[in-house]
Amino acid sequence: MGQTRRQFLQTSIAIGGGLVIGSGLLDQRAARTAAAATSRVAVVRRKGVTTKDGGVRADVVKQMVFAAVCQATGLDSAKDAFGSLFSPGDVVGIKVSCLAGKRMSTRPEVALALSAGVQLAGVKSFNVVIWERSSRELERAGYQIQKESRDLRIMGTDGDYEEQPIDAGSVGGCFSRIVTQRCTRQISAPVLKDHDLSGVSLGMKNWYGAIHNPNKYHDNGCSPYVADLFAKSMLRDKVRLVVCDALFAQCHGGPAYSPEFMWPFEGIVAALDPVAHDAIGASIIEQERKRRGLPTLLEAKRPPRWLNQAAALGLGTADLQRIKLVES
Amino acid sequence: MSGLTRRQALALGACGACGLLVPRLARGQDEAGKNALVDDTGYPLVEARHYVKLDGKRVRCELCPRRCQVADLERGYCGVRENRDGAYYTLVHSRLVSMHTDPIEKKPFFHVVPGSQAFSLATAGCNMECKFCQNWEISQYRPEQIPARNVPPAVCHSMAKTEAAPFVAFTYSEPVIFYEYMIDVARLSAKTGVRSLVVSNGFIEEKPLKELLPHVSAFKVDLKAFRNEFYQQLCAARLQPVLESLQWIKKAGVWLEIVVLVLPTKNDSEDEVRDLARFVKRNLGPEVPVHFTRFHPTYRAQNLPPTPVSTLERCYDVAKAEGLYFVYMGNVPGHPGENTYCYKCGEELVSRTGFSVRQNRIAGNACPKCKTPIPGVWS
Repeated sequence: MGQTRRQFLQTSIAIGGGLVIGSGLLDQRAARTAAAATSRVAVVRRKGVTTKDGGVRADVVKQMVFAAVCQATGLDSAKDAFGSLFSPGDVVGIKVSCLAGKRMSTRPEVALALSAGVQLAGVKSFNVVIWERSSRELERAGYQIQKESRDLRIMGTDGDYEEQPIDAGSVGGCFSRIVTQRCTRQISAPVLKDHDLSGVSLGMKNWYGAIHNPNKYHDNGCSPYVADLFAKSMLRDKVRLVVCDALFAQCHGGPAYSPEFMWPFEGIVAALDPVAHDAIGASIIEQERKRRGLPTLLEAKRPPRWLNQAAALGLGTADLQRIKLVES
Repeated sequence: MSGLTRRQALALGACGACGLLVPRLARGQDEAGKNALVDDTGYPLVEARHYVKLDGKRVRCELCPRRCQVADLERGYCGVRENRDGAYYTLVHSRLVSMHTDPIEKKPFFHVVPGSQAFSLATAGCNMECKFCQNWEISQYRPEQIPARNVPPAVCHSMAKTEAAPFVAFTYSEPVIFYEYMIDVARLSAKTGVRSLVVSNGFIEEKPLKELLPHVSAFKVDLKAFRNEFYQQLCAARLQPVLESLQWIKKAGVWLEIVVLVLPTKNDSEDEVRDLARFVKRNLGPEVPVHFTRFHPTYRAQNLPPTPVSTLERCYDVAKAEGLYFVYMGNVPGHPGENTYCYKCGEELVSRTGFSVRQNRIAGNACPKCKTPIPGVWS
């Protein structure tokens, strides 16, 4: 934990002191967003956001999510931050990660905070969709399905995939219609955790839940499949934001819930650059592994090689030296 | 969901015909994906065979040469075998997504009781991803994504008997991945008299294959090509394990036929076909039938044209020239290459058009003209 903090401090930049080009708010937003769009990653941590019984404080979570998105975009208010990413006419999907049940899935409090933020941008509540591969997984993670709701939708793909596969590199998969047809924009809302094959399962790996055949993308440590999948236009172009639930994180034994390797990181990680986000997330997990005396992901023969492959495809920045980390 | 997808309609259509047979025994699932866990939906949760437990609740599947290492809550490449708390389970035991009674020639088996019927079935899933898969709408999906019926092994035999089918055929997707169900059904053959046929890609480990073989009457293997590059690039698999499976099947004395789906420019060179024929003759015997069948564009291979008939004829000629006794052409109804000829005297023995047998002149397992025994399972 201490090492993590030191490293963060070494590379962090102060927000609010950046260059302001032009005089109006729009110019300011444009300048900051353009800067943020490259490789800024925000890590917001609040001691005491988690409770001893494994719960979280919803009000603090919401503040953290808003602060993280502000820092990721370089804007001062949540309304401006979300407004720089979403328009009132958008239908916004929030892809949560719920494979591992209640204890190691994206908390409803995080997803609901994101929903509130998106609505600050003028998006109607019924045009926000919190979703996963299946309704069953959502329910097990503590969500109440609201498929036909006139308010916020919470639903699984539940077999509603496109009929024809789309090639993603060497593999073909049918995409969820929530991605291809229902939503104009997406937010990836993963959890911060280890993965037995891909090294870590974060913002880009989360999209395995958007295709009908994720098992076909598991060979070779999921490389280059994580990158190939995210490179598809319906993801690359629609995913505007990654907000990771790092309230509790897991450094080993994933993707299932392994309590002995979980720790209260008490953080929210946010970025517009999905590759930079995952690179920082991977480094946090590596440092916790080191602190516990676990082998590195490379030594464990599952380094996230797909990070550099994603960078090579132009999806973002994987080089930690080129990522601006903003910690608060 | 806006109505049924084509995939769901196909699956339901196939099941629907059989649903009439056993309305009280087969229980369906009315919305794909609604029920993701078999133990919650009434489908049997059967522990997988052929896997080992590893540390950290991981398992290694030893059913097929992929030997997937699977973490807790994850599935193998096939998508139908899942790790639950350190134990490995099949999610497709008795969970059939397709059932139909077909002519045995459709499998195709040309040397197994011509003109008979095979009660044919499949589950979701496959351990390959062939870009040219004709049945990808079931083979490349997960079990919870396709409407299915719960058909226990004994019910499967009853359904075959009701259909007057002397055979049950494991086919359509890839039987290796529903191994536990397949072997449970096949083991009942001795009791019911309904024999078992396997239509497979042959991508299976030696131990489970040898465990299965005593219970089946015939095995058809899709030999996708005779080049490893083809297997790697178009099937996400490897050639060598398939060649080994062919030899184990042959050594076990189980009737074997081979099908090669010929893809223009991909596996149709004269050299490759010659190498394939030589392998068959040398390692399996010239009496093993080899079918060269016509490809039609589908799935992820829609950029290729249908196989020209002239290409199939060339494959046929090369294989015959190498000394194979029984070479066939498939998916070309009415072509003489569909017929069985005596390899000694050339007499036409079984005349076919498509999946129909027009005439079967084999008498007592032999050519009626020159009396040469014709290998196969004729009764």
